[in-house]
Amino acid sequence: MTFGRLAWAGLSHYRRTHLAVVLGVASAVAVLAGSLLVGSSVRASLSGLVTARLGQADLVVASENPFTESLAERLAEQPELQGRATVAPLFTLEGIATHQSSGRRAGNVSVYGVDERFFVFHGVEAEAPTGSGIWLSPDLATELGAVEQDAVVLRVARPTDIPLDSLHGRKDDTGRAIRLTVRGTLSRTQIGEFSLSPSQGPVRALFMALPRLQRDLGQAGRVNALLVSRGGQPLDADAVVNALDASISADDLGLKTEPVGGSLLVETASGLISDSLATTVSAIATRQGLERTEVLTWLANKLTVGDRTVPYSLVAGLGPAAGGDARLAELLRDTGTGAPPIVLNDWAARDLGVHVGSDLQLEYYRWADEGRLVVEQTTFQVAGVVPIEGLAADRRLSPAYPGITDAESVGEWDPPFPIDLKLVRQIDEDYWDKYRTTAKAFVPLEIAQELWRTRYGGISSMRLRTADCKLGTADCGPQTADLEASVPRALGSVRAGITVVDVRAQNVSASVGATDFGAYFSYFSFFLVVSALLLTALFFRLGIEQRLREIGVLRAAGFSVAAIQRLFLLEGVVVAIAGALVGVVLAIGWAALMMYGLRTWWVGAVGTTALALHVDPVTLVGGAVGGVVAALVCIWLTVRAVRKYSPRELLSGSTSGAFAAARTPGSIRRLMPTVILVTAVGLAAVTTTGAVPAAAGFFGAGALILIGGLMALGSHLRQPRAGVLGGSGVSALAGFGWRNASWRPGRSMTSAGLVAVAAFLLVSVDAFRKDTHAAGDARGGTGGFALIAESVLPFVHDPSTSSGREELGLQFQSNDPVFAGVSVFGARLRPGDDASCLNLYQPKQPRVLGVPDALIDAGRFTFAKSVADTDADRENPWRLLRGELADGVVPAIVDATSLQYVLHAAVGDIVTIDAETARPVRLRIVGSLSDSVLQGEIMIAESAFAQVFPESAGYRVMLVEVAAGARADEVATAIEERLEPYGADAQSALTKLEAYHRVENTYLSTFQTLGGLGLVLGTIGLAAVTARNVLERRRELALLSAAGYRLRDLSVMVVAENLGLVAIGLGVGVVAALVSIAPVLIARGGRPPALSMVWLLAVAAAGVVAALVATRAVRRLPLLASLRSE
Amino acid sequence: MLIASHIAKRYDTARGGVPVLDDVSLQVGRGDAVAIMGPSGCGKSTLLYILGALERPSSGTVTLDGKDPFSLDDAAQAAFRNTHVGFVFQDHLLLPQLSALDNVIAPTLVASTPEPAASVRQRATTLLTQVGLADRLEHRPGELSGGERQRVAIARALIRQPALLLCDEPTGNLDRASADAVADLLADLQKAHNMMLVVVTHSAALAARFPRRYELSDRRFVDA
Ligand SMILES: Nc1ncnc2c1ncn2[C@@H]1O[C@H](COP(=O)(O)OP(=O)(O)OP(=O)(O)O)[C@@H](O)[C@H]1O
Ligand SMILES: [Mg+2]
Repeated sequence: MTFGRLAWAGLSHYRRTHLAVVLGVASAVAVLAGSLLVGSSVRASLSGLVTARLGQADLVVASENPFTESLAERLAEQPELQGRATVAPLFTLEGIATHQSSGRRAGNVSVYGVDERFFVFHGVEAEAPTGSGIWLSPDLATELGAVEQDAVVLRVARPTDIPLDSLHGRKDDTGRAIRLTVRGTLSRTQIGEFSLSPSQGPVRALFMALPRLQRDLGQAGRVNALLVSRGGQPLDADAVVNALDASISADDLGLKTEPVGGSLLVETASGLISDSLATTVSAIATRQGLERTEVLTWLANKLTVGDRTVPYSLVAGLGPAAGGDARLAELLRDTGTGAPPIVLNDWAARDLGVHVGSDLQLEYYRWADEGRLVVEQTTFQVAGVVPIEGLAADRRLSPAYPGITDAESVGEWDPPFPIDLKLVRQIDEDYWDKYRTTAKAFVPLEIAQELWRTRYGGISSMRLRTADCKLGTADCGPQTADLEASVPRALGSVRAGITVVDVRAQNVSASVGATDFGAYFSYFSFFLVVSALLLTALFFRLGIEQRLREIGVLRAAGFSVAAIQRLFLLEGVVVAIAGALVGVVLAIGWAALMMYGLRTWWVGAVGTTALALHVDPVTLVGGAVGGVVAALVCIWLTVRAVRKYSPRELLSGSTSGAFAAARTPGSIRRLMPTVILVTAVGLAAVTTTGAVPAAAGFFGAGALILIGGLMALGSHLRQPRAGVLGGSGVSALAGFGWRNASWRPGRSMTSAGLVAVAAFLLVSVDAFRKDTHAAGDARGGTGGFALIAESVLPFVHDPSTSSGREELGLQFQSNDPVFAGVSVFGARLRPGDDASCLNLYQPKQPRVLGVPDALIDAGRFTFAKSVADTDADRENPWRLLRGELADGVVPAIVDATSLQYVLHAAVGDIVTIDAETARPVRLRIVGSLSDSVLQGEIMIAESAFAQVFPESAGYRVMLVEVAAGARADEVATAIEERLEPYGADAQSALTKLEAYHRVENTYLSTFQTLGGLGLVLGTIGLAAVTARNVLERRRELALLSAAGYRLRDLSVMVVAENLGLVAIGLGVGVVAALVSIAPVLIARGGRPPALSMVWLLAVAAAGVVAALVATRAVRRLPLLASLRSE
Repeated sequence: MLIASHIAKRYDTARGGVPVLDDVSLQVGRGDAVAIMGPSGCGKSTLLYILGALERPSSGTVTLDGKDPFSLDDAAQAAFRNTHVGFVFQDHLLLPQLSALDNVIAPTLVASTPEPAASVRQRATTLLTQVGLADRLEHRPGELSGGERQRVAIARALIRQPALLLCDEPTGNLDRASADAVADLLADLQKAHNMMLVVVTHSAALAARFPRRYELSDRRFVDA
């Protein structure tokens, strides 16, 4: 015989007890490993979803400004990609689609302009769309109810060369409506669910012919994205950036060069040269020994001297070199005394009748950042007059502005700002005929930039020439081809605004998820695991206590305590491993059940039914190991207790004498519960007077009741029984039975305590259940806004003013009745990933709102937390958004829930968004909103927004407040109808908030459900405790039955003990919880927490069933036989 | 040589101290057999447990062949019991999960100097044959009679060839015939192995077979 065989003999002899332990361990492992499996299943499902939706795309090259389609071929030829990597160009836009016959609309449609290259790239057998034919994704087709041959009108934002929110941006022409014909749907396998952004929601994709989209957008030959497939070789974003740097052309940057007037003119399609491009060109010019002249030309509405005015003149700001015109350069040199200098051409000087030294008023338009056209005026001093020759005769100082520079006459001007044609005289038309865009006045560049610089740049064009070359006699400019070749390389793709993102890596890492379902389900199942472990420990202990005399014999035979512990631990390990093996199988079942739950009962938490069980062996083994370790710890604690017993006690077979003897509570211990309970009542009473904050006061009182109640129970159980049993009938029997609870006070306390704590938590988490009862207030979850509207196309007019709304076509006249009592805040939007709990993916490029000053000052919503340290900021933490932070870090406000559960950050932290892009943005979280409707986005100040997202022009979001009693839905309808060209969608803020609440409440329900299950299991454990007590005291019971007790009487005793403990546990827990959450319950009109109550009823029922099972154990005991000695 | 001198024992309980033994001294030499008698509750078992190093005396010393087991730590004390002391209890106390043979072998599992399994088995078989159970080797305790169980327990106590054999009412639960058989067995084995034997018993008949008898009364030995 060996040690192992000795252990094995014990295992097989006591297999019934061990089987119970195996089941306990198996339940713990099943729940734990199953929960982790839920986590890995969700991750695998999400990752599988994005991976499938990406098709073959690994990296994406994208740019706000479209580049040439041929870049795809040039890029593919680069050494970094040569071999198997492939590239496909496409145009991708956001749009809104309307089904023409039914009028059904779908917003947030991803529009892809593709040709056969797209399908070849993905290796998909599908016909590329041609003409006006389109393919739809299955979800979009369903949403629109569109079938083959149906007409769909698509609205998309038009990429523009000239930024929308600049003076020359075409604000009324932001989009295109395109009528298309549905050819059918593309299935998932036909890449119909192609999507670059990670989201578990439906895919609204529309595939149209690339040439058609290019034509409609006025972007022939250009695209705004390239898909890159690695083709199985390692290729990272940096390598693609390098390859891009080597393949971009001047045309991709919109850079144009042309020899003009003997020097080289450098311009861009936007009419403005960005600062980075300007710096690059300047550096190249300096290196090549070229003299450069920066030019910023603007339109002056009026040049006025005294009572004479010249309307609508182009004024050129010239750099110091003045294009080599020494005279102009000299005249423009600012002496720094008085008003800045202005040089007029002789036509203007004559018309104005000025002489050198006169003051001149220059009036001009400027597009203010807040979305308004403003008229400003500056005074200059006439520094000289030049003839219209040389640079002064150069029409190309002005960039091409559609609607102006191409007009036949001033009368035909059609600029995107108002022009007063009455001011235009015949001589002005004559000037236009003769000189067209020739500037009438010249000012120093730095003055021009002070007045007219925008965030898009401070130079409209540049002239380059050899420094000492004499103008007019020779061509002084450098070679066009040289410059066009060197600038893109020197600038690089990143600074040109072309970004490369490893979408596959980004999306897969996003699918690790904002929400770790493995952790969540582990927390939710806490009570289940604890109950299972408790059962494990209980049964194992039972097994050991059955064998105390055996231990005594072994000790007498010379087994050391350590050897005996080893023996039992060995048995424990075998039992735990057996339990783990069973548990692993059950875990798969448990995880499958939880996944089923996520697809059905708890679908509100995930918003998708695309989650499926993925059995990940590593997770499974990890969970099993965790469960085994936990079980072994419990077993070890039990085995350790063997040391406590002397061989003598062990041999006598009963440890009760020395160890379970009732420790008589001292008088202080006896008084404690009373003191605590009285304190609780006192605290509650004081709280009702308002002296203590209600939430804290009641929670304190509830917690005290829980502690005091359990202490009272403990002290009651440990109390030596004074009175003699007496009376008769059921109540006497029940009293006798209840006394059995004090047989092992520790055991009874553990069970009742577990029930009480679990009941307390289950009921009190109800306080976290979100509802919208005060959400409508300005300080509530909606911030007092009834509607939140969002448009697909940006609008540049400020919707907060009545005039802005009129410009926008939102409001028909200034006293439009629909808008009576309505106030609107416009906000800028950088579209991106939803940062709310509705998105299961980690947002990598989250939605960002640029909030206007007015909204900051309004101080709406309630803050959960902020970094405010002044009274003013504490009063309105929105003000913190205006703070200046070092290193370009931008202050930001986020909803508290999103911050904690989605962004995993805290107030005061710095978080980086857009990390995978060429332009990461660092945000400091200066405050968090409590339970707000703004969960999906990160809020920054409008001013900061313009700096970090200069390309996101205009407003796209409106927060709308409606006067009390007004019909919000009418306003919503008005907004949607009147802003139809912008693709506006107005949603009730309350509905939106409720959608967020639904997610959180579903999580709570999940917790309550699993916690309730745990409680039920705990109750079953309690029955096991009772059964054990019965077993241990069977001789005593036998005696009773020898003394004439009937089995039924014994059952009454057992049920009384069991139900007594469950009832006390539930009672203490529920009362404590209800007191804790009293303020919330009262605020909700005294509605009791329903779900948890249902579970508590289930627990009580389980208690009865368990008691009956224990009774059966009593009935089956051979009571009288146990009287006979062994 | 077992020397117990001035042994006293009291139990401390929540309800006060219970004095059990008071100044008990005893010497047992090789080949000696001693019977201890006394009324129930007088402390016979307690004394036996102290002699066998299962329970620590409140005061006084115990040495077996010059070694004091109470100066050892738990592991060494266990090893001491394993090598030098054999116990036979009133309730046989066999491990129900093991066969008769395995029950006898069990103490060898923790022997400080391991013995080849075959020789242990051989010795256990011999012992069981000596106690007349040659044909019941593989039977579980549940399949044996009270007297048979007690004989297995005696074999178990002897497997480690102890110098000291302690028996706590070895015949208490047996009928007259079985009790005699067990008593004969004990006497034979004691002589055969030249052990020190201490037997606690109520039975005057059993006690009468021993040359030295002590009566425990009022926490002390009185001459019997
Ligand atoms: N753990 C203990 N705590 C307190 N008192 C104890 C303990 N163990 C034994 N006793 C007491 O010590 C006394 C002696 O017990 P012991 O078992 O040695 O008696 P005994 O002479 O063997 O009696 P019996 O003939 O009935 O077996 C008894 O009065 C008993 O109540
Ligand atoms: Mg005794």
